[in-house]
Amino acid sequence: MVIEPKIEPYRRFNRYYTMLEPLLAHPEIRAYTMLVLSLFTMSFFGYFAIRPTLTTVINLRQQIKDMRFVEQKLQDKINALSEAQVGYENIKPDLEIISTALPPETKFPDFVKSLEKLATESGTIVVGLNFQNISLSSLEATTAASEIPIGFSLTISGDYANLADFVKRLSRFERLATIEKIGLAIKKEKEKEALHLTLVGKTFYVQ
Amino acid sequence: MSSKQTLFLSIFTFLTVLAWIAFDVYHAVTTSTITPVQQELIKPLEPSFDKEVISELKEGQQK
Repeated sequence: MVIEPKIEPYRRFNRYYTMLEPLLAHPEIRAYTMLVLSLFTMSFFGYFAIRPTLTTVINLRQQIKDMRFVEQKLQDKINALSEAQVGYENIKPDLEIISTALPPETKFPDFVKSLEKLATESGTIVVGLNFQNISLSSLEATTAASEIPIGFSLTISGDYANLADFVKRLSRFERLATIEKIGLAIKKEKEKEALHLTLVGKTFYVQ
Repeated sequence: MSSKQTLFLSIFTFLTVLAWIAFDVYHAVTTSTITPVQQELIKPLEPSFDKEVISELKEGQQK
């Protein structure tokens, strides 16, 4: 079997070769042409082939690096959670104390009742009790729990020892309450002088 | 267009493409692929409880 050479394409493009041949005969033109064509070729492939490839490679490497970092951090968090679980089991018996000191709701009526009880136990009389505006309905849960203060102003009357006892009891109160300001005043009540103690403080709840 | 102009144009095009590639590479290297959700998830957690405060609360209630 004899293979015949394909001379048809040569015949078709013969006139172009004839046109280019004298041009490329000059060394200067040949050098310029080669340089310009090389630069355009490099630009073309640089933009359409090298750039996307390089970007993809670097992006994938960056993704691997970031995922390893995330994996490490998540592993650390899993370890911390396990540790926290053990700690939580240890403090489980004391959770009641914690939730009483810092309740998850306002527990407003309970707090008022407790103040009245404290006053009765210390032999004082509650003259006035004011609270700042608070929302009694439970609000939507937030991502991070934080303590919300409830400001109150309490006025009680009684003798000095009883008032001091009330303050002492309040400072050891099972629910967390801070005393910010205390004022003592003598007021006339039914032609009789009485010692009034005004106390400004804050109690808290977790939200 | 003269051959010098063509050469200048090809050099300028080449340099532009080179700068473009360099900028893209720099951008890819410096951009983090960690999503905001992942950033939220990997926030560290403090596993210890303040036992001192719990004992203080206990002591306060026992008094």
